[in-house]
Amino acid sequence: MSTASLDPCACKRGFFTLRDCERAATRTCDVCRRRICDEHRAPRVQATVCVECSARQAEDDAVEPLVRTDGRPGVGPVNAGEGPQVVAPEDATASTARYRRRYYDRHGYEPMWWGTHDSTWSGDGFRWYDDGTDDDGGGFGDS
Amino acid sequence: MSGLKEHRASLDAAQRAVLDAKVVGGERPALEWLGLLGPVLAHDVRIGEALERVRRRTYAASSTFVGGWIVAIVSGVAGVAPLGVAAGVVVVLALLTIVALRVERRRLRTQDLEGEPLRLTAALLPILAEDAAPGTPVALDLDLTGHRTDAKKLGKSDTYRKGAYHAIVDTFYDDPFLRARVRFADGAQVSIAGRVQSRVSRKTKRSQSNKIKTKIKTKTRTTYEVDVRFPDRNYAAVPTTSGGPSPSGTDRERVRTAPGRTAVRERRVIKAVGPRVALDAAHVVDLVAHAYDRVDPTRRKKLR
Repeated sequence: MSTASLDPCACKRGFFTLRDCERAATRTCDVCRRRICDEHRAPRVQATVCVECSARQAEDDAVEPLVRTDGRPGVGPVNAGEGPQVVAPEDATASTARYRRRYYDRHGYEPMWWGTHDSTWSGDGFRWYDDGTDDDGGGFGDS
Repeated sequence: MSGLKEHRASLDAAQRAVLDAKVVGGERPALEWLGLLGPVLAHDVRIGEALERVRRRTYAASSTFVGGWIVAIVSGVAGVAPLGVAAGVVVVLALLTIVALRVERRRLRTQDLEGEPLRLTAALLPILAEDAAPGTPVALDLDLTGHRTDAKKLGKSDTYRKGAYHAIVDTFYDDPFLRARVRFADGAQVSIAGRVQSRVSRKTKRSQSNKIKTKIKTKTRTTYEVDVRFPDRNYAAVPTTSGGPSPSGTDRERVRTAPGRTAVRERRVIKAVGPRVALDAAHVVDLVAHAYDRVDPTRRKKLR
């Protein structure tokens, strides 16, 4: 359950769409210097790193080539073992953040952006409605 | 095997109920489902490992049984009585071991779940948890009884001939193993379905040496289907889309607009030869992603 906070977590929730976390931040990521909540802290012993930075690092370190079964770029059938893996509930956020990063990079998927601006994501492709005005601040539930 | 009993005892009542009933149904938050099903999957993996151990031990006991018989016969012919008696004891012990292992195998098989649907669902739940509207449950119906049980048998074909085979009988099975529904934070209603259809062909022919030979061939068709209903207040269909095949060329999709919503249905079929069915949650992720590719946002909002 998201709660509004004066010091909200800067990480994004979601896989197919991205939205603000808005949980209260409790620490600062050593890599991106953004404020993050406990749930979006990657499980590391000696450093405080957010799950998004951890996912980027993991994907940068990954060296295995992408070989698609249909030989096409973009979305399509995937290799066995490339899909999401079974994890414990406490590891779900970090694991999904890593799979999300890998999926966006390798499948060319551009998620819907329903959050506030975040320069950390500026190099990534995503979709949003741009009519030249600022956020109206309303929620999805508004009509 | 005692480790298996201890592990089962460590599960809670709801998890043991899943193991016994082999079906899952109800509504819970996604991560609560994961907390329920994760240990069940771990237990099923242990049962699979135990079955493999039983298989290996049965093979070893059978080899010992045959070897003991040969030694007993040879020593009987050669007149070496002590060796013959010893071999006889080995044969009896091997036979008892085989019987015990078959009983154990039968017991384990009654507990064994169809693990692939469970694995697919457990892998999908963290992703659904990310996008689910806060406090919204995932409605889940999961059938873990197996793809080719008697209950899922649709029927048999008449006997027909083809090529060298003079008698072929096809048996058809249909297993709708998964149905899940969840409302996403953006208002999209997402339905996910998985189905395995099988054709088991029993083929009989007469070989060149005039022997009757029978073989069984299994073909499976796994269908993943995703239905996403996007609310008009947030999304509109991409104007150029008029249905038809999706970018991968292997899937089918249908886009329909109605007052208040845009409905996108995506379907992927995976065909395979062989009795084993391998399911992959990545197909479902792809299909939901395809559905989102068929709409554009209609306003700029921030989720609370």
